[in-house]
Amino acid sequence: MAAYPQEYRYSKEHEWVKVSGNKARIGITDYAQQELGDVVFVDLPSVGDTITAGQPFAVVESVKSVSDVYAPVSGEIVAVNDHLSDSPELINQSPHDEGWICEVEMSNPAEVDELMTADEYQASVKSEAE
Amino acid sequence: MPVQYQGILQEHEAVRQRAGVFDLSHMGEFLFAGETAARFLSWSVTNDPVRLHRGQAQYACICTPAGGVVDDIVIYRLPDPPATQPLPAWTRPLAAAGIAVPTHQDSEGRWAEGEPVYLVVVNAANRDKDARWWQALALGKISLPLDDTLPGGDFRLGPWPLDVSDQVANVAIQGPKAEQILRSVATISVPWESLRYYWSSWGRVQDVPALVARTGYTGEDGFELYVDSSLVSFVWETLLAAGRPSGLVPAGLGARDTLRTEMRYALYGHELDESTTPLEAGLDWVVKYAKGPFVGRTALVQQKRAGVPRQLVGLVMEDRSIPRAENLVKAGGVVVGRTTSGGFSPSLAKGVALAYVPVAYAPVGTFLSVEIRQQDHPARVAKTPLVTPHIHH
Repeated sequence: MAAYPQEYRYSKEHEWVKVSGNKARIGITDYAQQELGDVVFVDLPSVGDTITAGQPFAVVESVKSVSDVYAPVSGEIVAVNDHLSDSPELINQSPHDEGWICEVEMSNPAEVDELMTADEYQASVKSEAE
Repeated sequence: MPVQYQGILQEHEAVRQRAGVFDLSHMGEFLFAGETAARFLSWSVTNDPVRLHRGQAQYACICTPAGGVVDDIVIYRLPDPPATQPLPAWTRPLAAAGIAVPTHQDSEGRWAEGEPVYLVVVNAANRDKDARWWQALALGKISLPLDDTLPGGDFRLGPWPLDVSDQVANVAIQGPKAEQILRSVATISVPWESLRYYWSSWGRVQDVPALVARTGYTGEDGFELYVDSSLVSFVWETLLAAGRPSGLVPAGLGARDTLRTEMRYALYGHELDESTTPLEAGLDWVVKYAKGPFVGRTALVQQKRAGVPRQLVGLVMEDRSIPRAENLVKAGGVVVGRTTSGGFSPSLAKGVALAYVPVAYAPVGTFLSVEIRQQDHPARVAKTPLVTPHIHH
C-alpha cells in the first residue's frame, strides 16, 4: 500500500487535499484508485468552475465502473491536470502526486479542518476493508 | 469468479496476445440422454442438436412461443467414451440410468447406438428458470401455436434434463497460446490437430478426467474443460503453473465482459431477454426453421417475413467518452434506442457499446450519439466483431 502523505488531508469519499496558502490541490487516494481498477477516462472540470464541498465535480472511469469525484473543499478551480486527458493511468500510477485532478482557490479554508488526517484516513480505510 | 485478479486491461491483453484462464464453475449444466430426451431438447431450442455428431457442439437459444429468448446455451453432444480412460464422475447419472458406461460400450467403444447424450451449458442466473421451463414444456403447460407442437410429443423424459451444475466445474483456457499450454498438461483421446472449433474429446488434465471442448466466448482459440467440481482447484492450479512461463494469467468477469463485448457476443440479461428475439440479436444462424416444429418457430418465421423492427449493432465512440449499459442512443438528437452493454475496449482503446436501434440506423458507418451523463457524445455504427477474431465460425 502506498503511504498516505502526512501533510495531506483526506475526505471520507476518498479524495485528498494538499493545501498551500489559500490554494488546495485535489486528487483521489491510493485506496480509491485500487478500488476502481484501471482508470481509462477522466471527465475533468474546467478552470473557472466553482465547486462545493460534498458535491461531485469530476468523473473517473475505470474499465469496470464510473465514479464521481466529490469536492473535499469549496472554491474556484484555478488549474486542472491536463495530462489526465491523455494519460488517465497516472491516477493508478501516482494517485497522490502526478495523478492530481485540479487546484482550487478555496472560498472557505476552514473546511480543511473538517477533513481527516493521514492517520485517521488510514484507520478508516482499514476498517472499510475489514 | 472475481471481477478481476490483477487488472482488467492486463487480463484482457493476456487473452488476446497469450492466454488467460477463467473459472466458469458458476455456469449451469444439464444432462439429456436418449432419443426421447434428444427430440425434446431439439424441440425446445432454435438450433438443431439432433444433427450434431458425437463430440460436436453448437450454440442455441431457448425461446418462448413468442420468440423471446429464455436463455442462450451451448449444447455438447458428448463424444464416445474411450476404451480405457475413466470419465468424470459427473457422467455417473448416465451410467445409473443405464445409458452408457464403458462396460456397456458396443464393440467399437461407442455409447450404445441410438442413445445420444448431451451436456447443455446454461447461464448461471437462468439455471432454475430453465429447469422450470423445460418441466413446464414437458408437461404441456406452455400454450403453443398448433404448428409449434411436436407430433406425438408425449414426453417420457425420465430423469432428463438432469441438473448436474453442482457436480460439474468449468475451467476455460483461452488465447493464442491456450493449445500449447494445455497440451503440456493434458491428453485427449483424439489427435489435437483433429479437435476443431466447437468439437470436444474426453481427456485428462494430469490425472483428472475431463471433457475437453474447443469452445469459448472470447473470440480467441481456446478450450473449456468440464471436470468434477471436487477437482477444479487442482485443474486451475495445474493450468496456471503450466502457463505462467508463457504469460498466462488468471482472468475474471471484467475481462470476460470486455472480450465478449468486442466480439459482439450476447450476454443474457443485456443483449438477450424474453422481450428480444434471436433475429433482433443477429443470431439468425442458430435458428433452424427447416428442422421441423420447435417452440417459438411460428413467431420467428413471422418476424423473419415481416422483417425485424430493430437490430443489435456495435457502436464505437468518436470521442473519449465511455458508454455503459442502458444509455440512450440518439439520431439527430432523437432517441432511437438504448445500449445493452458498454465500456472501454482495451483492444481499440476507445469506448464501445452494443445497442438495439431501428434497422434504418443499423448500417455500418451510421452516425449516432450516445447520451452519457446528460450529454450527447458522437458514435458510429461499426462492423462487428469490433476486433479481428482469431477463430472462425
